[in-house]
Amino acid sequence: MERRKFIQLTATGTGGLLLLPNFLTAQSLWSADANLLTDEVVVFIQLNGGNDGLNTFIPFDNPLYYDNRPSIGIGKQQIINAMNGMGFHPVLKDLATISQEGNLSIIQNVGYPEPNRSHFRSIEIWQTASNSQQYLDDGWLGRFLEIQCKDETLAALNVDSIDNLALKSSLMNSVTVKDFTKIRNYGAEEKELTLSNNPQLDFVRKLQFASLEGMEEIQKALKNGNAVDETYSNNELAKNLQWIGKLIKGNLQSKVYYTSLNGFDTHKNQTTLHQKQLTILNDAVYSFYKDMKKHNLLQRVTVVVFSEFGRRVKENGSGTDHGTAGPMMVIGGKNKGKVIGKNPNLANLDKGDLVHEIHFRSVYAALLKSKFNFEVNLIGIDNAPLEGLF
Amino acid sequence: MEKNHLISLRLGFSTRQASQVQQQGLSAFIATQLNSNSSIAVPDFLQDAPKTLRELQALRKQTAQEPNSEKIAKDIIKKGFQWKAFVLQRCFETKTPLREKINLYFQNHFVTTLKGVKVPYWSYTYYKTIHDHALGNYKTLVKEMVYSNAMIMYLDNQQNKKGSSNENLARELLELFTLGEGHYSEADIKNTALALAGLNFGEEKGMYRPFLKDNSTKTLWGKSGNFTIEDVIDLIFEQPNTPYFLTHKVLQWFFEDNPSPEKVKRYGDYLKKNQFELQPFFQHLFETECKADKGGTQLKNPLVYLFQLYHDLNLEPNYRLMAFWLKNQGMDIFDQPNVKGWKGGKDWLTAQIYADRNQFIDFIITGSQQYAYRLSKRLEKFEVGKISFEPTLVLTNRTNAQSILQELTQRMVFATHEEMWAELHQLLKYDFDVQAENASKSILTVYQYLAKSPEFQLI
Repeated sequence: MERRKFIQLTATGTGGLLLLPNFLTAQSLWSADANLLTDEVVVFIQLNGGNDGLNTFIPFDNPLYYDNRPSIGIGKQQIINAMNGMGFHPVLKDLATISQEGNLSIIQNVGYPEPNRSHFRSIEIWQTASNSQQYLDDGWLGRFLEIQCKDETLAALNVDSIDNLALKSSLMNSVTVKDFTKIRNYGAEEKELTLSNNPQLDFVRKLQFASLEGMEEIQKALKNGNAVDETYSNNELAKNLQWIGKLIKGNLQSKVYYTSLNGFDTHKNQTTLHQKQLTILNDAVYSFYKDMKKHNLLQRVTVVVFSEFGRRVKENGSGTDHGTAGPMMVIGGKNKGKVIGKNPNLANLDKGDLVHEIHFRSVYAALLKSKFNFEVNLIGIDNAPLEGLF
Repeated sequence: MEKNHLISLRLGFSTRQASQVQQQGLSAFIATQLNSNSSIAVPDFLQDAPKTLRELQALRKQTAQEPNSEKIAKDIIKKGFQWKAFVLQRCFETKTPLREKINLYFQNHFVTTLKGVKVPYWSYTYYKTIHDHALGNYKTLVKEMVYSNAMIMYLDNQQNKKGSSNENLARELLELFTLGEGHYSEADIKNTALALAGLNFGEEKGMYRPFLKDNSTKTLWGKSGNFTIEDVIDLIFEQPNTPYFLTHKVLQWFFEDNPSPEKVKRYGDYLKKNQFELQPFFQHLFETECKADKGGTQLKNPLVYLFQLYHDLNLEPNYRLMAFWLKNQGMDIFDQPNVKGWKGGKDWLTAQIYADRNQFIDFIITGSQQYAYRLSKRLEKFEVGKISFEPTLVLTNRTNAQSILQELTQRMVFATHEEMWAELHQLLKYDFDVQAENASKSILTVYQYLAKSPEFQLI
């Protein structure tokens, strides 16, 4: 791309620039870039385990909600940001703020026909955008990226412990980075790191980071991004989003970032566990939001939060069983900031679960169309883009 | 890692022999492997190759006259490539991989290369000699090696003549084959070279040219006489470090990159006590080491890495592709970069080599058109024929996610840790349906994950 060339030339061509204080160079490079850059970035946050949508965005006006959930239901008076019979779990106070600022959309009852209640299978369906009975080898984003960005090594970056099926493609490799702290340390010099009592193993672990594809670009972006680093709240998701933020600010060319948060499989002790995970989500997303906003990047960045399924309407002991449809959240500077779709219908259930009303693939279609001007029929999705999101 | 799988990796090239070890017991397994009475027949493609010096000279004369002499040089390269594939095929298909692993050990101990020897048939006789003596007496093996046509050629001893010394073979005999640096003097090398003067190519093996032989008195380690090379080697075997030098390298090849001096001494003493007989030495060393083995002590060499993948995933072997791949991994079979051989240990892995391993495993399991294109481009001139990868993984216990994860970690990695388990449980969640249509594919992603882990790069 021409833009990158230009920036590289600037950086290497004028040695004098390097004499400026660190923050100034990075700042000027970066703000020069902000004017040039129009590239859209989408950040996916996958909530693993099946997030309980009904206790996230809560239909507090529907008496059936409290009938089904006498012990784990969230009390009416605790609910915040109430509108049109729905409101947020109290710990999502900062998401509520984002919503008030008009930068958060909620899409209700998202799912797919013939829902599968297995974590394994359902996440596979979301990640490949297959039909319920269909098995695909490649991920939906992988199929998109191999058409849109086939010559780029770092079209997508997965910040997670394991590779991600959504990004898988038979044409190109996706890059997964587990731990940026290690990358920063390992990449620095030939320093010996002691990680275990096995020097052979430490030797290989050190190489593991250096052997990652695209490591040079990532190192470079991190260096740029370091100068404009912001403080994030202290949790695992926030840490990942902070790295992603740094890479976006540091001009990494990735268009898609993907990360996840575990711990939503709340069969027992849901009230405490779910509150804890939602707090993590709230704090992390808000940190990232403020960061992007401060650096004028909110217009370029879209965050998508989803889970493989919601949970059973009726509670079971102190928790809930696997369910089907749930809400998706879209955050960023360009979405319309609305609640899309009807409130959950708790009267008409399928085996005790919500019936989906919006297919997740229509959300995918809207994302790719609006962000990348990409027609999803090229990757085998025939759902029409969801209206009213962007 | 499950004990028998670890033993199979140590004493072979994959985990294929794990069940055999389990059935027979460690001691009997080793004995069976060491007692096998196989030989190496001349491979078909060497039937018409020049075998003796006379045939070689005739060919050379012909080459000099022919305008298309390039064709003959190319033929030698081609035969060399076939030889690599032949050796790999033996190692892959054998029922006694320990024998082959010992052979490869000695090939890397007494290095000669196809590039350096240029007579593929001699590389064959050299390898056959190793095979025939690898479980005999070490001293005899050293003598046979010195007399090998391939060795004479590789270390230029045909140029070592009375009055015009070439010390190459003499030096490596002391430095790399028997004593190790610091255990001989320059004078020892000079005198050994004198004893080797006139040893030139022969029909099946090297022979002295009487008129080029040096019959002066040689002095080594305080002893003097008109020594033949046999006498010199006898003297070498009286030196204290000879048993330890071999033991150190054997431990490195089979068990650990950094063996302790105490261990080296213990097994070295055992070797010496048994008059350098190799079979009891190997039996004793393998048995003792395998019993105490916990793994994680040795960087996995590319050959074991490759064969382990091929066996685990039931891939159709293409030996030329394998030879090519190993070369890229820094383990060019029968073509070590120099006479020191592969150093092993940390030399086996660099960031690039690790990245190439990971790309290869990704390619096998996920498939990548870009990689396939690059690979086929590079393979064009090697006539490798058809390559296909259809990975299938046979598991003994396919009950549920946990049983699958247990089995694969037990088979593949010497150690696991909390983070790894968390990741494995993400890959194969507890409610994974083993009956699902694409269950096998999902299981392969677990294999892929483990094969890319740092733990898999070690044994």
